[in-house]
Amino acid sequence: MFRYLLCLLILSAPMPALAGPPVSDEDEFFSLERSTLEDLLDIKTSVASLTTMGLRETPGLVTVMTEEDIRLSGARDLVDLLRLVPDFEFTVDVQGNLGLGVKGNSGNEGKVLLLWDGQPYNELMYSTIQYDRFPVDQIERIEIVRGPGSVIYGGAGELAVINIMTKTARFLDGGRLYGGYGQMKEARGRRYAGYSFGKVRGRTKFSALAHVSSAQRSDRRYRDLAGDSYGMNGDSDLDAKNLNLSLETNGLALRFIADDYSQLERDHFTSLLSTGATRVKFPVYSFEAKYSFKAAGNLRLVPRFSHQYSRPWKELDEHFPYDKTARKYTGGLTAFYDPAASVSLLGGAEFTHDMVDVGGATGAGSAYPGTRDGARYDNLAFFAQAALNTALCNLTAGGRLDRHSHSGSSFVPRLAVTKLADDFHFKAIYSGAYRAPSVENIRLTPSIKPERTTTAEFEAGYKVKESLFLSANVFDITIKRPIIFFYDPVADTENYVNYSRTGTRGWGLGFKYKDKGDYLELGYSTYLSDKNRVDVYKPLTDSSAMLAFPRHKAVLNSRYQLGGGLTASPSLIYLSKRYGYYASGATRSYSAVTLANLYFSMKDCLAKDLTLGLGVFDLFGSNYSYIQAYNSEHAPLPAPSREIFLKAAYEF
Amino acid sequence: MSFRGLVCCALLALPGTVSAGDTAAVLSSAGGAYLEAFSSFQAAYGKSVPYFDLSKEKPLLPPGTATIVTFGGKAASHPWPRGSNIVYAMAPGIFIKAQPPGKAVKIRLLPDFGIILKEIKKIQPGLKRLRILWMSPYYSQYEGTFQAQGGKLGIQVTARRVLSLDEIPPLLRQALGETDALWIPPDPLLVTAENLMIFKEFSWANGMPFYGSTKGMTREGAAASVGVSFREMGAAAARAAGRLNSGEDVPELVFPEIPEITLNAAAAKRCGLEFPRAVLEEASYLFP
Repeated sequence: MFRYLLCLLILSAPMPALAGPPVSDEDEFFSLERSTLEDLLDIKTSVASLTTMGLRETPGLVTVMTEEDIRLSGARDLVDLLRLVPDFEFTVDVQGNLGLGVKGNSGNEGKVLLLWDGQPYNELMYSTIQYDRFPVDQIERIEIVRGPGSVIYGGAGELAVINIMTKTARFLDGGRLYGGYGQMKEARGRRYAGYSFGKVRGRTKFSALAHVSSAQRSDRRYRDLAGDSYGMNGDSDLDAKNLNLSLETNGLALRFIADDYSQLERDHFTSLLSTGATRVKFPVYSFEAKYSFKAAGNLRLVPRFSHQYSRPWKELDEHFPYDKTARKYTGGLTAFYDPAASVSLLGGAEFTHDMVDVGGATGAGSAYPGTRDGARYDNLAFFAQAALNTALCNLTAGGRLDRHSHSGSSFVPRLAVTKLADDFHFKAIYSGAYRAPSVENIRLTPSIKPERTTTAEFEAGYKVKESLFLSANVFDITIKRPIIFFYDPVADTENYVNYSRTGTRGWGLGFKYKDKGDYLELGYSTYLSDKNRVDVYKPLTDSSAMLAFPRHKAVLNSRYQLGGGLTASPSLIYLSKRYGYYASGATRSYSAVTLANLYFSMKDCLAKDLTLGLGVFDLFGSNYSYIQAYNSEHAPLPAPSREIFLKAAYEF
Repeated sequence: MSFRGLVCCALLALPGTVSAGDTAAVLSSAGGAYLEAFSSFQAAYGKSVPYFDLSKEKPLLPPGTATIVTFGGKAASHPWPRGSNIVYAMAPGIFIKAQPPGKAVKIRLLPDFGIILKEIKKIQPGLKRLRILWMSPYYSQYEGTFQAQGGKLGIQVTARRVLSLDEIPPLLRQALGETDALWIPPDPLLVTAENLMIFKEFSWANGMPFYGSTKGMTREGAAASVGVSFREMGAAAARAAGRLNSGEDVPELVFPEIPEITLNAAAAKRCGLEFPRAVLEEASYLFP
């Protein structure tokens, strides 16, 4: 009870006195125009439609996190940021890796697309994402589509799209040095440092971002379903090195990212590794060249080529020897055409060629049968979208046709009706989506079929006044033929199966208050699992929850300017009880948890241009753990204990 | 109550539902600067125009309204009927597209940039390097124009977009030794009391003039401002609306014809400037 009282106390702290009224007509004019402009600027996004639209009109349920949101939140990693989205919840996959769920549905393995500066970070073999690899201090903006994005982004954007943009040369305009240190209850949580540089000379922009970090998943004790355990301190390292170079000039944009991430794991698949931890590496090297030019009056063309080299899940010891090299070549052309002020068209084609080579160190269970030493797949996609702005509503219709050399053709449509009328808006969206089988899905189960998803979403929002905005949404997600992983500990084999149907339906609420730098956002999301027909997603007890996902999640995220450059950012994340396996063949409920975080940031602290931050994450030591979202005999993986976190950044 | 206030009240007391006409006006808020510009518009337009205060009511435009004149960004960005002409004033950083066959005409908050530079050059004849700071992304499109106009007068203009307010002090320090003066456009994201104080302190401490674009900026410490009065913006909107209604072609951007020059004697002294007689005679205000 004490912790809740303390939370209430923190959140009910009086807001700083508001500034006095404008002193002249001109002050009043600038104040009102600033409010209007901030409102307009904050809500532009292109993540859901590729064309820039207002957040309240874009054909998708979209969340945007700005650089200020990210910086003042004090987020230690991407998990801290994405956890603030009420529709999202993290789970454990295998080998110390996390997965993400969306609205009660497991989004691990290819159902959520993550783009880092336009480069897909779903690794090619299983299509998983390593969420601990990303340097949050380099992020300028995150745009999240909390719904399907396949019509624009293809097979990995089935349930959500997370588009992350790092700081641009214009934003940086000089150098920034930063570092962070986190101390958990029993051990060091993390230490990292980075340097960002950006410069603009005429029409040429150059940026270089470098980052190195060493963190630990947890200092708590992991216990597998058989009851064996180990302390995670020293056996759950998360190490990242990242270099990101960008050059833009006269419409040509070049980007190169070298990203070397590895993690120590001992939790493995089912039983823990009795001989100690093993290191799993995920190096990725990406290159992209893109050129944007005006071909005619209202016609803009963007040809693009990219190459990604990666060696995901690389492990060279006896536990799960895996040495595969993946190369992805992508070429595409997108055309944007605005024949009239009220009509916007886009269309394009994209060709990808995936090459996988199996190295000699790969274990027999992960190799291709016979003498085959790799795989080659092609995918050709065509997509088109028309947006019509009529007096009655905005209509967006589009579709994408993919033809995969192994999986065949998939067509997904989207139809969205949106309208912003004065202070009220609504969105009604029907989307098809699919999940393309990954390279390993196909290797293990050649007959595997793509998943098919249909989603209906409705959102309504009302701006009560300039500083107060309310919204509500409902959703209905049906996933047919879901591809689900299982690990057979007896045969030590992986496998994939198309189950019959799963999905959720539910609703959410949002409340946003913003006034002169103070900010308070309250979000809530809930779902029902009655559409699910997949046994491995269900708790064994009679419950309307899906495994690992709370039926109710509420997030309170806020910040207050305390004066003198000091900002306080308290946040609360409430998860209702969750279900997970605690022993082989037995599930139980894990009680509700509240993650409370408090972060203070001070500008020009001790020295000019030096920003210092100090925070406490999981203030009350909730003992939160990541639960596996499907029955594959993996016990809940402990998250960090309470962590005191210090961050510093210097600009020059 | 001032005379201006009385005139404004009298104008707004006119019945708002005049017979269905060709033009209607919408104000983001019926007060202060918006009211001043609207009253000037009304006087210059020559006949009574139905008006709406968007902060209080939803505008129900009379049937047959061909041209909507808006004052303020909120009014400009309101979803207007298809095919209407939109004349929008006092909407810094906002650009809208009318839906055909309607046209959108923006009344700028500034005179032509060439005029601004000429006036600044008169005040500071030795000016060779001028740095412009702005924040709203829409100003980026004028970067080339700034530089081209500066080139004609032998002034090297460099433009820097401020991406976050934290960047202002380092950008100012960077300007030392690289520029002779600063110019701040009427960018609502940048023009705040706190930022004007920072500009003033930097300018006065380093003897580097900063030029503004409104009377208020001069009052708060700019050596001078070359801008457009709200009254002139209203008059320019009236002229544009009249021309549109008579079927004339009007450019998408209209620069009000009469600049308003305001001077600050104390700021000039701190920056080692002496206002030439011609500039003093031309100025609308001289703050001591």
